[in-house]
Order: sequence, then C-alpha cells, then structure tokens
Amino acid sequence: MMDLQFQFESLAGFWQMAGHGPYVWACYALTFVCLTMLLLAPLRRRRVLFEQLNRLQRIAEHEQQLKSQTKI
Amino acid sequence: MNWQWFHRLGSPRWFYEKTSAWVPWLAFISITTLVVGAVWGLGFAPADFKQGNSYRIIYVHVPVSFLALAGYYVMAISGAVGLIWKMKLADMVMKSAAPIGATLTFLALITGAIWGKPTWGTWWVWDARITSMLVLLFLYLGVMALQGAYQHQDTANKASAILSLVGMVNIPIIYKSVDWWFTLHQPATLKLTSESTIHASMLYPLLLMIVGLYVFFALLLLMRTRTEILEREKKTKWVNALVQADNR
Repeated sequence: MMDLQFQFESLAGFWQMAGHGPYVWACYALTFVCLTMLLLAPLRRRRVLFEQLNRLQRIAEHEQQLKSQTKI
Repeated sequence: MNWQWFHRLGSPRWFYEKTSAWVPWLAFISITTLVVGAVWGLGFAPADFKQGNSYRIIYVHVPVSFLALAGYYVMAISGAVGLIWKMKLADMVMKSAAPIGATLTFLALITGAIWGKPTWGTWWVWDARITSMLVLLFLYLGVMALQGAYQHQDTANKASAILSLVGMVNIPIIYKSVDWWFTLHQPATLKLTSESTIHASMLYPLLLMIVGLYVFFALLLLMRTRTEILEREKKTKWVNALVQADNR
C-alpha cells in the first residue's frame, strides 16, 4: 500500500495550487454543478407528475361523489 | 439460452418494479466512489512534473469524456433495438440517454478548454479531437430536438434512432483523431492493450473517478427511464396506485 500524503502545505496553497487553482477548481465546480443538476432533474419531474396525477385523482373522486348525490 | 428476460423488457411496468431497489444502491456506490476519487485526485495525487497542478483536471476531464462516448453507444444501440424490435423500453432509454450525454459532452469540452488555457496557452483550437467532440454535442442536441419535434412519439423515436445510428460514424473519428491528425491534444493516457502512460499514484484516483462516473451514469439513466415510464403510463391503474401509495 502506498502512503498517501496531502500534497499541499496549507489550505491556502491547496486553494491556489501554485497559480493553477482557478482552472482546477472551476473544472471541479462546473462538473459538480452539472452532475447535481442531472441528478435532481428526474426527481423534480417525478414530483411534478405525481402532484398532477394526485390532483386528477381528487377531481375524479369529487365527481364520483357528486354523481352519487344526484342519484339520491 | 433463456430469452424470457428479453421479452419481459417489453413491459415497462415489469422493468419499473424490478429496478426500484437498485436506485439507492447505485446512488450510494457512485457518490462514495466519486467523492473519494475527487478528494484523492485534488489533494493526494502528486503534481505532474511537467504540467504542475493543472493536470488534476484529468480526474474530471477524462471520466466525463469517456462517459460522453459511452452514452452515445447506449443511445444508438437502444435506438437500434427500438427500431428493430419495436421495444418501447429501448426507445425510452434512448430518449433518456440524450440529455445526460449532451451534458457530459458539454463538460468534456468546457473542462478541456479550461485545461487548455494553462497548458496550451489557448482556450480553444479547431483541431480534430475538439471539433469531433463538438459534433458529438450537436448530435446529442439533434436527438433531443427530434424528440420534441413530432406530434407522435413513434415518429420521433424513429427519427432520433436513425440520426443516432448515422452519427455513430463520428465515434471512431473521435477515438482516432489524436493519431490521424496533428493535434495539440495529448494521446490517450489509458490503454487496454499496453502499459498506461501514467504512474500508479495518479492512476488509482483516475480509475476510481471513471468507475464512479460509469455507475453514476447508470443511475441517471435508470432514474430518467423510470420517470419516463411513469409519464407514458400515467393513465394506467398501477401508476395511479403508486401515486395513491405515495400520498399516504
């Protein structure tokens, strides 16, 4: 097993990466944002669909009730 | 060979119920692997003796580029399956793969551009690898546009399957572009048939990121396909039962 060692002397050095920090961190941030969006998109679509179907079900139930009332 | 599973795939409901248990596992495995790989690549892998720290971009650039191409295979093959066997599920997989692949191709291009600035001194060059990746992005966007362009889903599926199959021509061009033409882009780091040109201390986090992103891609594709199934079957009893159970 190789020994893993943190490659930077300080957090500031980690952030700056000897001048390459902006490039490296921008790439990781962009990737993180895009992957998170991809993960959330189907969850949101599913929630919207369920809300819509739920509303339709309640309308159908309500109509059923009205129908049974008018029969009496 | 038993082909029953193949026929069962014709039933979106069967697929939906079968895969319900997979989602949390895929999410757990992929997110853990990606977080470990990213922390390792950012902080613990040694700096490159030529490129310094900017090479750390490899840990996102290479995995997203791999998956941008793998996503295209998934899209084209499921398009072909849908075209040949008229399998609804395959069409849904094709439709679901397009936006994921487009986003990954976009990421591959943008992280490549950001890596290019400190390494080549320019954000963009019109060379073979980069241009063929841009064509890949347009192919994905084309499939997405075709999906929305027709009133009938069947026509849309047929059109996008044909476009994605014709676009397959671009895939070997992307792979070979760094060998066929003079280019700024460095040749492949990972090779199946010979020794990779990267040291183990840099390689392990890269492999973690690639495996993690493969599983993450599977997760995204599965989630999208499952949502697509619910949308297309929203008038059926079983979906409405799901909604009721969710409401309680």
